[in-house]
Amino acid sequence: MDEVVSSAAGTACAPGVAVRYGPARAAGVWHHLAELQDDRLAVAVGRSTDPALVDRLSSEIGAVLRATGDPVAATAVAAASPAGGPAAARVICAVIDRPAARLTYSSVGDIQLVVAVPEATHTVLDPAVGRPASVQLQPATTVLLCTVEPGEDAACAAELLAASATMHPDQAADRIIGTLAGLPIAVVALLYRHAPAPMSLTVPAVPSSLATVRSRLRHWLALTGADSETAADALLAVGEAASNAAEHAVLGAVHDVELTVRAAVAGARLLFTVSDNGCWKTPSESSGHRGHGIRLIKALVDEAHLASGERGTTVEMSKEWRQ
Amino acid sequence: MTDQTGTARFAVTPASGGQPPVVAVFGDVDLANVAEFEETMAGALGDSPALTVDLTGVDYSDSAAMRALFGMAATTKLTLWVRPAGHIKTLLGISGLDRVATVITKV
Repeated sequence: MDEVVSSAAGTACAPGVAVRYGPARAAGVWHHLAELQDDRLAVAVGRSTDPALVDRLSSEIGAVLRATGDPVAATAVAAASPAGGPAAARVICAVIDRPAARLTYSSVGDIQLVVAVPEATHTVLDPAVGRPASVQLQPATTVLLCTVEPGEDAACAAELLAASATMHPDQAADRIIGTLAGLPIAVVALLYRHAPAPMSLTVPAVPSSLATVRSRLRHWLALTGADSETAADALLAVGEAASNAAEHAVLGAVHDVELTVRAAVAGARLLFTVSDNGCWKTPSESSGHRGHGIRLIKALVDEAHLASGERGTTVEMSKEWRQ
Repeated sequence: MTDQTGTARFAVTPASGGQPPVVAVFGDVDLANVAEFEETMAGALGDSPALTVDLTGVDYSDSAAMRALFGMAATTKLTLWVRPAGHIKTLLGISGLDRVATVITKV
C-alpha cells in the first residue's frame, strides 16, 4: 500500500489509521502513508506556505521514507529545499515499528506530534528537529501528527486527542478536525492507534459468564478501532462460540469447566480463540445445535477452525481488521 | 445501547383490535435468559394464533434466541420487527429465520 494525498476529506488507509483534512478542500497541506517491510508503517504530514512545494515535497519525502525508512533522511529533504528552506516547510516524518512498538520520528519547522494513552493523558513530544527521536508505544496508544501551529492550537489538538483516546480512530479524527477546521489555515490530522494488548479472560463455562465475555470483548474491540460491522460480527462469532461452550462443554463433565476467550491483533487481522476444558459431545447427540453455531461463526468471520478432543474444544477465528 | 450488559427486559402488549400480542425485547438475549424469553412469548401468545416480537431494542442476541424464535414460528404466525441495519438482520439471514417469520423493518 502506498498513498500520497494532498487534499482529501477522509481517505482509506492502513489499519488503525485515520486521516482528515480541514477545511475539506485544504490547500498547502499533505500527508503520506506507506507500509514498509517488517510490519512497519511510515507516515508524514506537512504544510508549506508555498503551494508549489506541496506536490514536490510530499512525493520526494515519500520516496525517501519508502527507500530508507529513516525519518531524519526524509525530513532532510524539506530542510534542504531551495525554495525558502525550512521556514517555508513544516514536515514531520515518523516510522512506526509495530512489532517493536516503537515510534521513531523527526521534524522540520514548527509542527506537532502528540501521543495519548487510553487513560486520557497526553504528551506533546519534543519536535526533534533534524535529529531522530523515538518513543515506546504502550498498547492502545494513539499518535496524532497534525500541522497546527504550536501554542494554543496545538494544546487544543492535544486536549481533543486525550479526550478521544478510547474512541474509534475515525471518530477521534472527525472530532479533532471538526474543531480545528474552524482555524483560518489548512490542517491535516493523521491518527495512528497502536494495537491494544491481547485480551485473555477465563470464566466458568456457564450461561451467566457470557455477559462478562461480551462486555470485555466490546471494550477491547473499541480500542482496536475496528468498524462497527467488523466489531458486531466478531462479538457475535465469539459470543456464539462461548455460548456453545457454556451449553455443551459441561455436559457429562465431572469437573468444573472453564471457558477462555483470547483476542489479539496480528498484522491486519483480528484473531480470536474460544477454548474450554470440557467434554466434546458429538454433533449428532447435540441435535445439530452446535453445528448450527459453527455454521453461524463461519459466516461471520473469514476463517474458523474447530478442534476438539478429550481435553476440550478450541475454536480459532480470524477476521480482517477493518476500520 | 444499554450499560446493563447481559440483561434483557421484556414488555408485553396484549392483543387488541385484531392486532396480535406484541413482545418487545430490550438489551441482550443469550443462553442466560433465553428461557425467560421463551416463557414471556408463550405467556403473551395465550390463545392468539399470531405473535409479534419487537427486536428493535435488542443490543445483542445469538443463536439461542434464534432457536427460541424458530420454536415459536413452528406453531404460530410470527412477525418480527427489526432495525434497518445491525447484527439482528445478519443473524436472521444466516439462521434462515427470515424464511419462516415475517420480518418488518422499523426505522
